[in-house]
Amino acid sequence: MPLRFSLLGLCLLLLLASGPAWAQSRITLSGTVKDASSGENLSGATIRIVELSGVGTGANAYGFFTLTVPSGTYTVEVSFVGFATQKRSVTTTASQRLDFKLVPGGSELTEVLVTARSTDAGISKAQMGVETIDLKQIAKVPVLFGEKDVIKTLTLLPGIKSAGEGSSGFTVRGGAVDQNLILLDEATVYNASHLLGFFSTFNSDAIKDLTVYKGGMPAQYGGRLSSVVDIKMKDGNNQQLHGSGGIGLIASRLALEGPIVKDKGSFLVTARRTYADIFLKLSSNPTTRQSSLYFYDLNAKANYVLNERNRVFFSGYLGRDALGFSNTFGQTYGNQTGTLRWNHLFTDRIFSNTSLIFSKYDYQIKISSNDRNFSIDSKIQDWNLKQDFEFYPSSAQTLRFGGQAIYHTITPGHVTADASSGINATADKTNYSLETAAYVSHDWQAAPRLNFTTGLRLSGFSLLGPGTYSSYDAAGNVLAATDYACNKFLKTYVKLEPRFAASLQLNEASSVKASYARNVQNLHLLSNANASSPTDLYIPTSFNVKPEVADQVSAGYYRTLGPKKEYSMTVETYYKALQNQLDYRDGTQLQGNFDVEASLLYGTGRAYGIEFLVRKDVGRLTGWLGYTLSRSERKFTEINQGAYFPSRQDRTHDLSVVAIYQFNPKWSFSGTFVTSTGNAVTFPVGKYQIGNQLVSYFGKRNADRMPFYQRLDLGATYEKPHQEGHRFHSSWTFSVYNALGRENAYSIRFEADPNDPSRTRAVQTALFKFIPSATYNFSF
Amino acid sequence: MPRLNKQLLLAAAALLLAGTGCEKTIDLKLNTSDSQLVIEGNLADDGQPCQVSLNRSANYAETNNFPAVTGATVTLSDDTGARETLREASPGQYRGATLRGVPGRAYTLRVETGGTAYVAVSTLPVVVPFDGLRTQPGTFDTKSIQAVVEYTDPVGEGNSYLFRQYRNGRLNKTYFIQNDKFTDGKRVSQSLRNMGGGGTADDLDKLASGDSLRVEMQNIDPNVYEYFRTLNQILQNNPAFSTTPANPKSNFSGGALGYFSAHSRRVRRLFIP
Repeated sequence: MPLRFSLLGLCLLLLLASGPAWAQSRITLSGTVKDASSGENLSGATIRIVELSGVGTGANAYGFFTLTVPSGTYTVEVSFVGFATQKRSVTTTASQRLDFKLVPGGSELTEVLVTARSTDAGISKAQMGVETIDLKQIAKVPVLFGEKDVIKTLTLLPGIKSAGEGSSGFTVRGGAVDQNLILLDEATVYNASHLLGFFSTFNSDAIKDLTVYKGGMPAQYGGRLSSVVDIKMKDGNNQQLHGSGGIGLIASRLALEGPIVKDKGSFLVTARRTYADIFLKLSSNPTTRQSSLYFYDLNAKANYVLNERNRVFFSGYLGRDALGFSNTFGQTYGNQTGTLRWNHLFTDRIFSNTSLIFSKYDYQIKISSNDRNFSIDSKIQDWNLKQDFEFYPSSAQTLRFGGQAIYHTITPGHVTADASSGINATADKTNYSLETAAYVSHDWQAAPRLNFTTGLRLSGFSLLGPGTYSSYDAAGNVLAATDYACNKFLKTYVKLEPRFAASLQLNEASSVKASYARNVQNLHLLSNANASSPTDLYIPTSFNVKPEVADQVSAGYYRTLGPKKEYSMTVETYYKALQNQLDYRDGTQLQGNFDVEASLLYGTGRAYGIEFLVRKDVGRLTGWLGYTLSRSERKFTEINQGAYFPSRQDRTHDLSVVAIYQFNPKWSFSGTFVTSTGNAVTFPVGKYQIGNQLVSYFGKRNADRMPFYQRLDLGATYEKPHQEGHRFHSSWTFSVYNALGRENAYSIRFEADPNDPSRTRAVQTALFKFIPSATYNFSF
Repeated sequence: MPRLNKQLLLAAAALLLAGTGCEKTIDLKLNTSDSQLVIEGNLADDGQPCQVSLNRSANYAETNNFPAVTGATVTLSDDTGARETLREASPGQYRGATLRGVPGRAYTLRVETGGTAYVAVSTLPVVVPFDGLRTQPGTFDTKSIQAVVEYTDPVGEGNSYLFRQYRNGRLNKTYFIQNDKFTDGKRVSQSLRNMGGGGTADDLDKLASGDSLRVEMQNIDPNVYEYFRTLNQILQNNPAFSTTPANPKSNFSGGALGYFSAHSRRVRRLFIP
């Protein structure tokens, strides 16, 4: 702990020492970049000084920028894809504030259909392994049941793979599903799925954009091995009241946003609910009529500009799934998050953000049948205090530093029952832990075409009392169990995570990059099911479970192509080494297991691959083509005689094509094509009989493959011509999921052949085939 | 309970996907394996001698022909020092003569074949009385009929139970297993639902009015419970929740498949009104 604080102290010292020296010779231009129509921050907007080649910057996550220049008269040019570029002439004698409001569309109005990101930005920055998805971009991508979904669209990018048909789970560069840090306005979302994963928890109406880091994570992020998915909610329109909504096959949505005080503050409220349960009421079966099956989610956000130096934000999310069968069974589960943020400008070159974040995932099961009335409760809850500073010592440098402390409370499922019940209550095995981190990250444009990002993250994890923890022998038998008292630090792990990235721009259109990052993970999800289950169990790093560590090196080549730079091409290759990976002994039952650590195995892993991505972000035809060639392997002494074996998420080839074509102002058409190698699975290598029943005999873990996967989805969007003077817009989106009707194997089971009792057969189950959907969307 | 939970979720998923899922038989090229020894040994406290069957596994693509293992030396001993060698009554079927199952005693079964010895120990548990058998309407499908078994679990964790259900004399292949993890010391009335799996209960297993129902209750030792629990995991074939499949946890040393169970056996019958 003291070490961590001294690092922070060092940063502050650095800041104080270097700050004033720069300030004397230079002038600072700072301000914000916003969307003129809605007041939304335009993070990532490019600000450059036309007269000074190579002097420029990007707006940060809150739309704030700062530039340091010698005194003089300059033209400041601010641009953001999808917005008209703005130029402003300024004469600088003293530091000054410059706020920009960009008008959407501008001269490119008819051309810009997919306003994904600035095509140049990817070339010059040192950051690699990053992709951004703009919500406008996914609106026309066809999806299952017509519910547009950021997480599902994410899996169409190279290196990111869906965990299974219709699943919201995803794996990044050969990592496990739980190795992705999913943040919604900085709050961790522990279970990003509704209804067994067929929907993600993110209502696209509330989302502004999504950034995913597949490698070379900046030092301000940590806590998971594979990726960071940073999802930002919209701030809400601070100009005028707007509403939007949609009526779909499965769910309906409604959103309202508007100013609290024009130009100063705004709010956003969105709601979504499924209505499959309404159809249950129509059933002739009384049990079905009394059953429930639905989910809803609510997003709310508000922000207020106190003055030029201070702005506050609140954002919250509440989602819940409910599932019940008559009076006998009821289950609810969901996430709750809340984020309070305070943006503060200490000087025009020191930006600060302070966040207090609450995050919770819980589930509850209630059973009442005969004399067995009981309930099962479980939760994971975080209180997170986070402080980030951004300091701009010169236009060629940005220094980010900060720290955070997260207090985790994890209650594994435990039974509550009164004495009259036929079931015993079980002990509440709640555990407590503290996750801390301090980081410093330095962006440096060393030469006009050479950029470095150097970072260091120091992360700590402490298991706290009270609690009972056991030690085990090699076979998983308890050797000793110790009770620990309240407020004790039981075990602390401290890890240093270096991060480094460099880019060299070869010419106007191309660059090469390389990066290295170490990531540490201290919360581990135990799940042995294919589908995401609401009762999946999180466990903390403990005496036995060591922090997971990943070291990733990657290199890439980036290029824009075409006369208007309308194409961008990326090739990235990576190698990842994993330590302290978790698996279970054969036959482990995770649910209702009070001693799950006894069943754990510890091993290592490696993942490597190469990813190709070609994007076209402007023009009538937009979209991308992504291909990944990769391998992901694990090694455990107790599995396959200690040899490397393919992990479940190992897929050799993975190809996805996304195309959107704007036929005319009314109609646009879209298509998605996905094909990949099947997952690594374990099939029987023999059979035998027990009690006249056929039993499969299994050999090596994951030695077989599911059949290859292939799917084509088609979509069409009709936008009703806009009537002059009317604010009301409407559109229809039609889609067909799996339009080729290919039966993709979701699972394969082996059974006695009913037609020939002397033989066995393999039967595959396919889930979705020709699923049509229609959604009506409106806004005003 | 956790299993119940999964079943319900699956039912919900089925509801959601109604009409969209489809199945077909496919051709798969499967790996082969060396033939494995399969031992099934039972000793009950019903006055019958020990019965052991020895077979070998086959490759998956072959016909269901499981060669009997003949000429093995099979010995049974108990913790009082008594010992007998089982005789081969028919190819692969070995029967004891003198030793009987007595609650509280630990039995060791040793099988020697092909120069390798396989040993399992099983303790015949203290008998928990089979207090009652009744039927009730199914929880979800109220038109169906479920058998309900009643017993009082003795205080102290570790009691494990296996129920076998016979409809009109025909055995339901499901291994209905229970332990006292959540019901220690409680009076238990448990319906024999197909939770925890074990084969596909077909229509012929469905109970109906007028049927003769017979249920056998076995007290099994915790290792045998583990065997049947992990066997059920690969028999139930629940696609959405399938774990990485693994061979059941046998109580035999030496790498044989199967189990040896010394158990009690209590039977109740009724006619379904």
